[in-house]
Amino acid sequence: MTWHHVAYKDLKMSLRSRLLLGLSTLFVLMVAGGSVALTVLPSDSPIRGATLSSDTALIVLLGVSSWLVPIIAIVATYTAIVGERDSGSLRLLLGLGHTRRSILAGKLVGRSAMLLVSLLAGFTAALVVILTMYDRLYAANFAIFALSTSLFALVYVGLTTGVSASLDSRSQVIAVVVGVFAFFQFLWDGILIGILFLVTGDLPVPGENYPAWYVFLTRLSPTNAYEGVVSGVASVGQLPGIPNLSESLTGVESVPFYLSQWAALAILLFWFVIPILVGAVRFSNADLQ
Amino acid sequence: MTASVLSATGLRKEFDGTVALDGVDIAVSEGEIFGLLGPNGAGKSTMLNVFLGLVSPTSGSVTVLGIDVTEDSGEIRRRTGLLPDDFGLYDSLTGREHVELAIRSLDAGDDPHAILERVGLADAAETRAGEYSKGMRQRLALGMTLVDDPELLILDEPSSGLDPNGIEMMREIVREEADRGATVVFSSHNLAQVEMVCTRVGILRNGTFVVVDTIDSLREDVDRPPTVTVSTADVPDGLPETIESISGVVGVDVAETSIEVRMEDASVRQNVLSTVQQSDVQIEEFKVPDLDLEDIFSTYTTEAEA
Repeated sequence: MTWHHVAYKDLKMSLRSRLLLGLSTLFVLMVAGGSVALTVLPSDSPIRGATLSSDTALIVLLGVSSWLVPIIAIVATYTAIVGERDSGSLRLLLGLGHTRRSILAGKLVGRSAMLLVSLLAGFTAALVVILTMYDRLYAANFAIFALSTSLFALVYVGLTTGVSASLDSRSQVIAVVVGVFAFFQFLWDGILIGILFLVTGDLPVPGENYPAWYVFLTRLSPTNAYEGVVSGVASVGQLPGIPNLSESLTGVESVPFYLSQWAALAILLFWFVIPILVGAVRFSNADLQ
Repeated sequence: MTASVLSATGLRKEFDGTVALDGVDIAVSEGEIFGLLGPNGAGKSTMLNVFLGLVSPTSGSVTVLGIDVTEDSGEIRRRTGLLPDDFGLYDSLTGREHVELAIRSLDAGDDPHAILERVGLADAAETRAGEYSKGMRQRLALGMTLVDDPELLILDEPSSGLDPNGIEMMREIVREEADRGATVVFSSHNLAQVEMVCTRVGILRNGTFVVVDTIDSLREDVDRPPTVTVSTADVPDGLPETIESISGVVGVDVAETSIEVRMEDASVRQNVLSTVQQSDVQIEEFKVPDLDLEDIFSTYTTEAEA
């Protein structure tokens, strides 16, 4: 396998591109800005609490990451294969003896590394704000958040790379990936509320209890699965604004396994693996004229 | 007896119902410089892409360097230097970095500087490819094909974008590579590009070879006067002499029921036909040889100039 040559080249080009700098700056500004914003809230506001801890920051960071990370991942990744196909450099690369599979693997690793550079910059900035302006740092929870967010980013890198390898025009790739993202970000929860209404006759009210199957269906979205991983592992689940599953489910005695953080992790992995496999099959059968 | 470096039998390729290659049979031997001629859209690039596994054949068998293209095209490409048609470079990488990418990818021991020197880019080694002219891009891609002394070079329209000096350099490199023992296959829509270096050429039209021959015997064919054969029920007395007297007719060979007419050029055919028609003889067939190379060549060279 020669994928590491492709990954190295891809990362080298990413580090030279303004795109990476721009996306990293955006992420740093959003997470650092969000963390700073919490410190200026009055200490009696429900979200802040008297002691300002990093767990409080995680609520804001989670909120920012859940929509910004997919966008950054999509923008950074959608050209991965289709861009080279479009420009004709793919044939040059294939001519150097790389197989389609090693190119796909190299691209996946290269773009993942690019995303991790962006995220690392953001996490570092947030950590600096927390260490200088907050009362307490819960390092383990912060680390869990950082790891889960990295995984979430890689899921979108995988999904986008898979689509990028499946189609032969940039616009189709963008349409499909943004379509998937927008569907889960803006429509999925609404559809499920409709289903819940049809089944139970009630509209969900914030703070009320939900049936376990309904919570599971929401978890099928990558974003909700990501939040499931973070809240299931970290004590974030005990904070206001994030439902504590063990107290908010109806029809079950305890949190069932399919709502555990492990199930959420499996859903995330599904969104990483399946698009890549589809992309690999379609790419290996593609005529690269 | 030299082994076939590249061979295709009954190669057919369809794209969404459009036939791009229609029964291609070809064998290229070790050490040959094979020129692939044909107008744009004849299927040259498709054929070269099939040889390298970039496009999969619809049917037929294709073997390159002893490997079936549907089995391990990666190995074929590793041992082949490929200059694709209409390729792209990495704008943010320098010329040297492109060659280094090729060297690393092929795990080769070449010196990037020597490669760039060979294609006349030594002075532009540290310039990013985004700033290269069309000719420099072509030179760089050609240089990348030379890394690791490939057994086979496949060059698709290698002279495109090159100035006359560049074209001469490209020819020089092709000769050097062939002298080293490499087999070279290159395509062009311009006969003049091909005949100066190639040992053998194939002319592709509408997805199939209309002729595959050595340059020398193609020349002979071109020099041979055009002919026409008229088959008749019988050959009336005096008709051969009448035909022979038409201006432009070089010679007449009479058989029992046919007359073969050799002439200076193909335009005389019309006069021969009307003369035969006026003689009240029953014409069974008026046959022009299938392959009029002069016509084919002139078609191709005109298209190349257009």
